[in-house]
Amino acid sequence: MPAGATYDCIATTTLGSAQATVTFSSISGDYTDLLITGQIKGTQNAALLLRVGNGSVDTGSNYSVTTFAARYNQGSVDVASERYSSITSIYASGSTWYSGTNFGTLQMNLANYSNTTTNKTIITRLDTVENANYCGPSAVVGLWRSTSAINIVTFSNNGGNFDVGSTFSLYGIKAA
Amino acid sequence: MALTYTAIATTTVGAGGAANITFSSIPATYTDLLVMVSARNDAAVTNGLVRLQPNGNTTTSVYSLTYLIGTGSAAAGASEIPTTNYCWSYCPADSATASTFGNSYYYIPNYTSSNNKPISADGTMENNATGSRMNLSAFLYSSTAAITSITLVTANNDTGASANFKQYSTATLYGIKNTV
Repeated sequence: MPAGATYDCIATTTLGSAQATVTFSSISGDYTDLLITGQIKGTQNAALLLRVGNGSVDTGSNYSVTTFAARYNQGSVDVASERYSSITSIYASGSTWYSGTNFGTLQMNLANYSNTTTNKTIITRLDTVENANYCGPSAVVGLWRSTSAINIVTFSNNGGNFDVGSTFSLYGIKAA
Repeated sequence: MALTYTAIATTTVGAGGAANITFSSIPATYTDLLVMVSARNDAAVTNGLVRLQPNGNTTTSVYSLTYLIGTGSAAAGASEIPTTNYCWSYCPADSATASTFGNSYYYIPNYTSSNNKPISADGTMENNATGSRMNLSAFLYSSTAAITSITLVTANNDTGASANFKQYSTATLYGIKNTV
């Protein structure tokens, strides 16, 4: 991964109180790719959901995902790949739930996010470790079937809240 | 815009190899850390491990993980709570295809916090034969101390015995600052 001035931090938020959604809006189209990183914790055992859009978040059935994950399940670990088409959000199959002071890690890549010719592909790694069901590493490929540029992204915790201390950072990456 | 990704230190293993790679005196001025590794070890097997120890901590009970691995013929997952391998990813060992090094990365958000530290890692052990492996791993380092040093050691994947990094192995520590 290259270092230096090609990575700009566009926005960052650390939650001082639990909240249902985290949104980055008015994202500049000046970059080549976007990277979203963070440490996250939910107030319940739930999946991380992502919706994107142009001007406003798309809540229609315009997303699809393919997941690959290892999930803790009552003392053992299940390995699974799942596929969902025409759904209303991209979800990372790992759980955001964490007990005590523990957080999970998030890394999300939105390549060529501002082009107006192609649908948008998003790759996510969400990792959590705990003796709790659905926790584990996950890799998710999501598709937003729109040729509009992405200038808004919204995260939610599938009906729960993101807990205090959760941090989301949005970086813009410029090609050389 | 502020500079967000900074290479804090980089190491290339010289002739004769090295038992470990250590990044010490890591400044607390960043938000997250990223360690990028290209490694091969001298164990007389095909598969090796790179082990990451924050603050040089060798107390295995503080490391937990759930991982997903692929071997080219099967996918598997398991939890080690705790693990005896610290934070790990695969790398080629001495019996793997010559001149082949395995890439891995370790992402450590909020490394100065007083919470336990989650660590995300991906690794590869590529080999022009069967026996290649990759891992996607979720770690928890159960320590509330800020991370001020990182030690990388390497091992025989089959026995767990310590090994040496081969010449030309490299590791780079990046600091990530989320200052807008």
